[in-house]
Amino acid sequence: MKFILKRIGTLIITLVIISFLSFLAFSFIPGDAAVANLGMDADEAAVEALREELGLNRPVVVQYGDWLLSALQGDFGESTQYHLPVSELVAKRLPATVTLALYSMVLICVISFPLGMLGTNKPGGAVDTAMTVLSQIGMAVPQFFLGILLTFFFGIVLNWFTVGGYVSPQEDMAGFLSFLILPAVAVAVPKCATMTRYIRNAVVAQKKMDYVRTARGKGNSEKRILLNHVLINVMMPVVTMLAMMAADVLAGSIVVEQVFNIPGLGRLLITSISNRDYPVVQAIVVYIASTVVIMNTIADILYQKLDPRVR
Amino acid sequence: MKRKLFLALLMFSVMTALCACNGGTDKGDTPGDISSGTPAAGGEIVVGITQDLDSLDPHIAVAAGTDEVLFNIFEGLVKPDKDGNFVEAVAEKYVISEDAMTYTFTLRENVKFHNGDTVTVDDVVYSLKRCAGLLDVQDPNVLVDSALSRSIKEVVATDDRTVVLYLNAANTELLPYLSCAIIPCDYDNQAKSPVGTGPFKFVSYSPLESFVVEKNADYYGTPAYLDKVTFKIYASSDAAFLELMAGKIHIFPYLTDEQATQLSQKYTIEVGTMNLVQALFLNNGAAPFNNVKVRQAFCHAVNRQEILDMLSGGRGTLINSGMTPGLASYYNNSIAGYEYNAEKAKQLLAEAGYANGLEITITVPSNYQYHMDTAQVIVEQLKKVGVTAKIEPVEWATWLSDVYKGREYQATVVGLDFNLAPSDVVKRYQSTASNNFMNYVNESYDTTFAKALAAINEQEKQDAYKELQKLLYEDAASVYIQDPALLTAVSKELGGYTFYPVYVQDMSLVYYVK
Repeated sequence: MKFILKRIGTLIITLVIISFLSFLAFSFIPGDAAVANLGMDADEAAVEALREELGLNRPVVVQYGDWLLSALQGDFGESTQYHLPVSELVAKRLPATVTLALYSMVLICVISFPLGMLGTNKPGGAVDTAMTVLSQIGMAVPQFFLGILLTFFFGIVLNWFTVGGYVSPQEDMAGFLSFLILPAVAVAVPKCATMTRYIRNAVVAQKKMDYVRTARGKGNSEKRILLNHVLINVMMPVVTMLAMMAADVLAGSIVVEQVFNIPGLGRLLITSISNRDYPVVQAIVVYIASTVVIMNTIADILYQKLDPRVR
Repeated sequence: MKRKLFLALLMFSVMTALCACNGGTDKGDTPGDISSGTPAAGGEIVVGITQDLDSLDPHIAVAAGTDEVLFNIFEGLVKPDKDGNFVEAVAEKYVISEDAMTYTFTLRENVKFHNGDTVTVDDVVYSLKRCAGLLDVQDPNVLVDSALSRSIKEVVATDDRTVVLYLNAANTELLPYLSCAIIPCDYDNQAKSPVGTGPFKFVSYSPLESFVVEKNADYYGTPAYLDKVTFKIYASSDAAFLELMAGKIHIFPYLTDEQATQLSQKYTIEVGTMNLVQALFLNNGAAPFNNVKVRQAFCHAVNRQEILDMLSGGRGTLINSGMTPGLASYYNNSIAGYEYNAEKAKQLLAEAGYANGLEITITVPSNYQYHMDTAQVIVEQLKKVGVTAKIEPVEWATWLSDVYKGREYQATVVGLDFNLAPSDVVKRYQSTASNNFMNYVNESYDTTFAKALAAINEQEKQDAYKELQKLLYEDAASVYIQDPALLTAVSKELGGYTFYPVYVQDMSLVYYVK
């Protein structure tokens, strides 16, 4: 309990620091929402009037304090571009990004564990070498490129997949879920390759340990050793790795969203940055930061469960 | 950077290979002139656009990419036709007084807003005042049109069908600005659920996804053929490309030359113009471009035809000064332009004291790939005359703030758009203009411009505008390049797609071919 409270404290401090830094970054880059909204033909007086209206001419610290107070009460303000509440704008895009990230994480787990253990009986053997080559290729392919290839083969050549057929979950849940499979594959494959490689190395290293020799001496089968003894020890670093990957997966989703034209958080973030729509950017930054911190917290908790020595 | 280039090349080669495999499987394409088909009523289409709408309120929206879409649901007293003339829309007729001091509009009877209300003079007065910044309480989000705010003294409804505009000074060029949208005066939800008088009415909008309109059955004019049009929003033309390959988009403008070639099997590629003045704009107010010889040297060093050949298959219209060829009667044809001549450029640079070379920075808004590509070609061309140019890509908001408003730059490549009034294209070169980001100063330009704007006699006006272009050319105010070609993919099932001399996508003329 104390552990969890401590973790929540860390989360809040991290978020405050990150949100302040992103606020600060915006005050350094040229252009603001008033300039972006009024465009080329506005005169200085009009821009100044809009700045006044949006509260952009106040000192950064005051603006931040104001934002923080409202945010703590759950009010993230209004988008300066869309004139819609930020919470509404973000909530509408969250399902796509979250589902895409979850899908990818599940794919990573489901694919990399069996593949990682494949060929570890005989390190350097034919199967192991093939796996090494495959994972090297997988790691080298950029996600956006994979996305394009997948769309091309499944969407245009085979016609199994409706290109650009994204529907919102409110409209058609089944359509939404089936559309996201391919993007999830595009996000997951390079990560799977990394993970497979990681698991393979961990398993091979563990198999050289004394306890494995002992287990073998007691007459356990290789399969039993792998599943009952080695795997539990491999889990420790792998869980850490998975938690760290969560951030990568989120970043990957942002890129892949562009390729599949999914109106997720990534596109909203990019658009908001170029329109200097601070309230939206702040909300998304806070969301991404908290996801990463929460994933790390979960990893720490799992770590404890797996190894009672860590406490 | 190298990695990015490599990936782009790889992507391109794979795409080309894949396209080549797929070429033979296309079927059912009947080549022919699409505009000759018989129109069928009804149907739905998807139009791809690459910019999200910046607002649904027509007076708040500033992006050209928004105007081109909103054109379908809003109309002004007058509206442009495909030849660049302004024809009556909400107004049934207009009279411009001989001294060009009053504009009198008679409203068309029974024009209905999309909410069912009839358009009244109050709505018209309100809309014009809002555009011109004359309302007592003005929304700071509304972009006040400076041409309107400076010209209009008063807007008065003289009876229930007549609206009169009294001007501060004689102005025969105000009509294009009076295409500003007429909206209901007692409706404050424009930004979320826009109401206008156009041939289509608003259905839904989802940021970054789509903007949907349907046919306005009560339209007073020629009704639209299509029942429904979905404008689907893409991050870029690359993002839309796979959907184009799959045939999921019916109309898509702003293709690159390469993309157009790859799509020519599936789509009819229509070629129009972007209606921009694209140039390498030079900061006349700072070294080295405060020296006219350096500016002239650059004009000789840039091979404009090569830019067209490399970037758009030779398409596009070369321009020699700051005016658009789209305004034909004001365009000065007699200017020969600076011919490409590297030797002469070197000599001029030497005369200006840069015999040993010169280093400059070209700041380019990176969201415009076309301008980025143009800058790349220019950098290579400048090397031949001993100029080392560096491209600094910046975001649009940064460009607006630093280059356009702050004027802190040496050179930039961009395209300027404009309203269809000749003054709108060249007014920025007045020494006092707030948008004179080139810092161009020439006294005789200022006096000639004032003469052009005030001229009532059409011949005098045309002569004055032609004189202005000559001044810009002689002073080498910037390196004027072209009005770029606009390549649009149109599905072979459709007909009626029409280019305008302004930035609009008129869907009311588009139909399915029977």
